[in-house]
Amino acid sequence: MTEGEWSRDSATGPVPLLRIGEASAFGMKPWWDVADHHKLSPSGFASDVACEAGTVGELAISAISVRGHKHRIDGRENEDSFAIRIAKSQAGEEYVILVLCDGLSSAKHSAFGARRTSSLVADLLRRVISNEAFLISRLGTVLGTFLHDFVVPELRSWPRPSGELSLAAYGYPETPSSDVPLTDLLVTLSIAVVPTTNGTSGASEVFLATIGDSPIFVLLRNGDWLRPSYVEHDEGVLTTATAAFPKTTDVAATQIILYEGDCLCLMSDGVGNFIQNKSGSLRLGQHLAEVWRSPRDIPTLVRDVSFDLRSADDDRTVILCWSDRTTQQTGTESPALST
Amino acid sequence: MSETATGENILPFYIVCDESGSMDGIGGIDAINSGLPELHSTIAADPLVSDKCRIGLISFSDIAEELLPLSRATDIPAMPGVQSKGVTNYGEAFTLLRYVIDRDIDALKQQGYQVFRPAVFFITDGEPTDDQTWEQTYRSLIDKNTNRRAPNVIAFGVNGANATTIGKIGTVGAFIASSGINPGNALKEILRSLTNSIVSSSSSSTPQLVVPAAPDGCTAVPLQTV
Repeated sequence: MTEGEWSRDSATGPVPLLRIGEASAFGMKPWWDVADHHKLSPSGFASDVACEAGTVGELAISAISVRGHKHRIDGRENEDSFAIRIAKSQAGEEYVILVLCDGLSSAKHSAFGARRTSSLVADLLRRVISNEAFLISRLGTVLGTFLHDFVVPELRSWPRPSGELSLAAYGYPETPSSDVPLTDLLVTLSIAVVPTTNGTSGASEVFLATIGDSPIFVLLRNGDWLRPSYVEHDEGVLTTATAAFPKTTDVAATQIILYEGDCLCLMSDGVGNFIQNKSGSLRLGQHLAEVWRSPRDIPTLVRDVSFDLRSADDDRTVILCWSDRTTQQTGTESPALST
Repeated sequence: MSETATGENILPFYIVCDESGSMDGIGGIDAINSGLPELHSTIAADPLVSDKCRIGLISFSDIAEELLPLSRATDIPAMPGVQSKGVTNYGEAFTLLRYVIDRDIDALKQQGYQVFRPAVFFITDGEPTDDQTWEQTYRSLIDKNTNRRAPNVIAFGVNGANATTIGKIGTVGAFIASSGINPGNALKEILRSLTNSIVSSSSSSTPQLVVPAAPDGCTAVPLQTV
């Protein structure tokens, strides 16, 4: 199979996958092969594929998370998670809140930490936007404090088991929360707050914040990848590859202008590591820059992030926000219906 | 670079084995020759590891030889073996290592790979016979100021190896077989430990060298500056 081509392969079954370079050890076998490279998670919550997609205002948004090979082979949960919320300010401005978390492998309950943190942070931002005299330009200076004061205390507030069923049925660790140190819940955190309507100039001011190394890109309408730079807030240390929430609540934040035709992309490093390097776009980055210029149908997006590339074995999560769905043409033809 | 890079991650491992004459007398040659195929089959059977790591094998005695160029485990039909030869010239091994690491990283980068700092497992049963010159050769290999591809080195010594010398060679880990332990058995444990280190290092999403715990029958020795 040639790199960059969509093609069918008898080994991988009927779903065509993008193969980049030589086939990986996983790509050469179907997932149900006797080699047992794709195990169920005993506790559930494998999240082999998690997805949300829909429109709000002028935006088209898709979030996809696919469990990585390294967790499939061990029968462990997808340690990435995302949350999407919509909020309206008292001034009547509507925003969509996008949050992506990538659990650190070293943290014992990082899958839960990612689910919990992404939901709590998204809910916090919804409250901030709805209840305060919200100014997007001030968010960077207060977010770290809000994370520290409101999210960190909530992280471990889960009930004790009460009855026959264990808390695992609800996705909580089975350990009492008092016995789970915060270091067991470490995640990277990426946040975007995006107005749902563009300004009269066709542009909108978007707030971005990160803790850790999960990248946020803007796919510009000309097909280039842009990785915004950040400034420090809360007197904290500069975000580094090892920074993680809640070990730190110091965010690196910035505001960018998103123009019509741009696509904002939050990624876990299972995808983000293969977009570009110091020399420019990598092969996957080139491919996705082409196909993500406009919204994709959901099954195609799942296939986009299910690419086969040796050593790309981490969980893969993207949240894509196309800035103006009314002017962006459908990138792929709708699949023909058949019986 | 002929075409756009993939960004595929590669973690190179070099196993450097002493094949001086003394290795034969202690059962070291047999231990290594039976341990290497086990190492190979373990790595080749693990898709996370075989996709990410590359292994090379260098032997040294009077001279150093590249018995196995850096390869993906699944591409190796059978591991070559070592055989007992002459003296224990460490400098020969370090000179060849410097050359092959440069050559391999250049080639991998040319092919668009993202290459992590190489790891070297150095195994010996005795003191260097080139004791006047090996340290200078070694310094030029591991000095990150002058060699930006300087490898991380984990050194293992058995039988007549000296703990201080082993401590000088290891940059991130150094182990010596305890006295009274059969050297052949110690070498078998060392190869198991080395295999575990390769598997653990390659299993994380961002490859990083996992220094093994002291193999059974061995103790860690303090790292020394050269």
